Amino acid sequence: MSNIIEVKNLKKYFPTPRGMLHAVDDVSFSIRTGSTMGVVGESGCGKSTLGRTMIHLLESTDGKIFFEGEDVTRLNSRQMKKLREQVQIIFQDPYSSLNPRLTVSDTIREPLMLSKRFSKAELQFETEKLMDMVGLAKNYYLSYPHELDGGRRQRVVIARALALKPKFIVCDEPVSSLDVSIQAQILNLLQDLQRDNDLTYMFITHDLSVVRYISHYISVMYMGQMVETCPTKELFAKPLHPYTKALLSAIPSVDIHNPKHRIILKGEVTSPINPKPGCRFSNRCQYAKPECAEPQTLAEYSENHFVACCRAKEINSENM
Amino acid sequence: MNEALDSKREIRSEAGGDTLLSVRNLEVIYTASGQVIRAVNGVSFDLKRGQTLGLVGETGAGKTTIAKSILRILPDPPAKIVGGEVRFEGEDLLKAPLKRMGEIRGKKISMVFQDPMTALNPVLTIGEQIEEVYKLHEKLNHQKAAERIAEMLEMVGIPSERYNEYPHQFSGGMKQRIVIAMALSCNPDLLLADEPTTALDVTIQAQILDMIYKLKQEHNMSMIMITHDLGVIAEVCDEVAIVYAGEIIEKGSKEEIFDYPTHPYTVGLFNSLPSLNSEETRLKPIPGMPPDASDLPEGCHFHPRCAYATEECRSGRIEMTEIRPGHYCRCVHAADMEARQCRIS
Amino acid sequence: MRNEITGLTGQKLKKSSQFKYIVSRLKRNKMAVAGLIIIIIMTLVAIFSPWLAPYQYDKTDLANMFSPPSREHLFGTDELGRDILSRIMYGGRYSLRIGIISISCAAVAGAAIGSIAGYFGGKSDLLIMRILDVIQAIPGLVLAIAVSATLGPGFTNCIIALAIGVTPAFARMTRASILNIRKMEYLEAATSINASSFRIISRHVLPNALSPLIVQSTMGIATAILIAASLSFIGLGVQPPTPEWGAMLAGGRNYITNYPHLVIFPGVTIMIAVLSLNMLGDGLRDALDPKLKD
Repeated sequence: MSNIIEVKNLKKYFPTPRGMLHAVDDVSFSIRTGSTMGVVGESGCGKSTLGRTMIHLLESTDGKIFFEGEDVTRLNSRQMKKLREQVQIIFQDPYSSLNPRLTVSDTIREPLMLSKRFSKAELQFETEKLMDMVGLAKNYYLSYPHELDGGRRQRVVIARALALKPKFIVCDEPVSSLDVSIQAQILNLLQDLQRDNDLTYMFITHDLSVVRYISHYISVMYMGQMVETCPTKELFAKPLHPYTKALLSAIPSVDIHNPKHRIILKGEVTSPINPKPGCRFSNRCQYAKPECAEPQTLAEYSENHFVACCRAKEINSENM
Repeated sequence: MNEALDSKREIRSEAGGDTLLSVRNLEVIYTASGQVIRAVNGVSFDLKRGQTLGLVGETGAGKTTIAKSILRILPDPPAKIVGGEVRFEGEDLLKAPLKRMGEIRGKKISMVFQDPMTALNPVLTIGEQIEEVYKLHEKLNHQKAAERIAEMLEMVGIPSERYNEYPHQFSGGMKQRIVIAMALSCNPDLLLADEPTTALDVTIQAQILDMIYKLKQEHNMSMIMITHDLGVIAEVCDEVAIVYAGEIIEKGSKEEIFDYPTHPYTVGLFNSLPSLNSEETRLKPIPGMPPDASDLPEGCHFHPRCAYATEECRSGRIEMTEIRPGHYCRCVHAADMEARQCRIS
Repeated sequence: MRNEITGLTGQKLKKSSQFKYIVSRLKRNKMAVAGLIIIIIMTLVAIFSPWLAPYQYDKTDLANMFSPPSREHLFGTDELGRDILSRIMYGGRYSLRIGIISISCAAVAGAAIGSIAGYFGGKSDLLIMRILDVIQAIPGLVLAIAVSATLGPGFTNCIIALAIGVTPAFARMTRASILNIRKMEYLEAATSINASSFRIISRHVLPNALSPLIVQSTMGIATAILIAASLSFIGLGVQPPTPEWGAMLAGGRNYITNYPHLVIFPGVTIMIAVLSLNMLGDGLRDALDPKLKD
């Protein structure tokens, strides 16, 4: 299995009046072709910025991005055009991601038209095919976004993203704003589409139960850095990083007979503007020691399981 | 922490005493450009002192409308409470004069809203905002009020030195703590919590739920927790009512609902959840969409989406039946459903 | 409703359907329809005034000065015996033209300036906005007076003065709505499907920024008519004997105690025009907002 996308030491900083905001700080990882990589973290941890930087909706500050082995970090407009047909994004908010003045068919037709691959008659056929693919009934062809509910809007967004037959899709919290019953419909749809079209997903979410269901691998982000990455099953069976442990324990579970041991974190996320070197979680971490002030790097703890914590060995051998 | 969880169960079983709140056949409509939207259609439930009731349902099911009608803070027009009673300590709040409601709001019953960003006035310091509640209800002077506020803030985990800071100086989680401190400042008997943690991150949600739980225990307060998150319900509630299209379609103790979900909609909700424990590869979503409240289907409002719907489901009003002791379900096939029971967890 | 046209997908049909949709929504607003009808009638009367007016607007009849409304002169005559009704009908040509032309110029200029400031941001935004601040710091009427005083009174100069005065408001509004739209994810989506900047601006940004502009223009015409009337009133606008409504008011003010009909009729006409334009503007705002459900 090869990697469809590889990211090396990617950085994205934003200038603010108070200094540099380190939204994505030195992140490296790769995603296998045909798999789903989940990226979890709390609001403001840089997961959405990471997704947008990877597909060039934002320009990276530093680092390298490889797509199918080719360096795509800096591109001219022709190369960019080619890349954009292969990578797409599905947004969180199906209300702001659709132009309120375009009908469903206008929205889905636009990428097809811009690609200049289809004749007028084919455009209609392709549009209808895409609508069918995402489970939108034909009578919504001329509907405006405000006439649709959140679930159907998200289907339109998905159809638009699929129009150019991309290989890699960044899904930025695609189900967070939907009700559970609709959320399940969309998750199933995304899974079917992946199977039928050999898609690779990067699935960004704060919802661990969703990410567990849909991802093959999971990376946990905290304040712009990756603190742990491993196969999904492994993460839930054996979380290594203290933050991952707290995160997993915080999810309210529907299992009323086996209450979890809750780790209640102290304090809140500190500011990502000009952060100090060293572990960014250390001020909330119950295991923090002076050595945590040193910069932490993602290191292989066991096969395929990487963690950025200098005390990972100690903490996890104590049978916590 | 574990001890707290264990003792939680015991206290709960002892707590069931007198009924604090009793809602009967509550009906609320909205009128918009000539159309009548039936938001709440005959909702009834009881809440005992010290207990927590969870109202679960999807967007637009009418959960928030139910809570707001208890306090009578629905905007009228377009909303109108057209029937039913809300008995709080025996007094029908729907018939109470407005002056009386003013005494009850904030003092006896208070409410916490979903969005802490808009619930605080940005031009007043948090101290001033909490003080207002005291001045209104307890007639405390400035000095006394300041002491109480410092106490309140410490209780919700905010250093009392931050008394004179403005809302924008606090993070989302902190703001929600302040809103909760305000809601609890007069020791209300009933707290209406409308999705208090939905806008927050999971680790912060855990902090807030933990805090709400402890405060509730300390003050022997009752609570109605409104949420779409069954996980939150599992964490904090004693009783659960599932709301669909403005009706309670199933209610009972948390154990009953989570162990023996019976109404096809409740079962569907559980099946839609990606579980953290089981290794399923496929979710079983409920087909279709929630109905339009201005055009509710005849009979059981859920029948167009229900796999078990038969002729009887399509007409008439479906009554609530007690299928097990204390477990009510609004489904003509409840008995068959029970047999088909798929136990969760 | 539109769902019934399933399968019919021609470009033409859809385009007209959006227009029809807006019209059908506007139709349901009775106030707006009334406003629109009054404006149309006023415009038609102004255009065809040479044929419709009972008298020449400048035909003096010294034998009939200050005659009150009668069968011959429905609105009476003024200090030179000119028929007031005819003058009001002719006056529409000037008043409405001043309003429409000055606002059109201001809207186009304002939209262009505002788009540059809003879409490109940075230093150009800063510079443009500061200049606009300076212009807006002066009250509209005072600015118009200053410009008219500099350029000299007259029809064209009046239009220029008005246009300069209102442009900042349009620029500001366009900038604000473009800043709002820039945050929308559908622009990112358009970028990611390879839409060019031109296409993004013309198809995704402008159509969404336009509706407040249209609404503001409608109401702006009303304001412009009022300011033009004020300018004429103090003698800096259109000069007599041109029968501009404001100029008529100004001319009649000396006789207001004895012959109130000299100011009542032009005054009421201005009021009706302004009111109708505002009602139409309100209705348009609702009809153009795709988010407002039916």
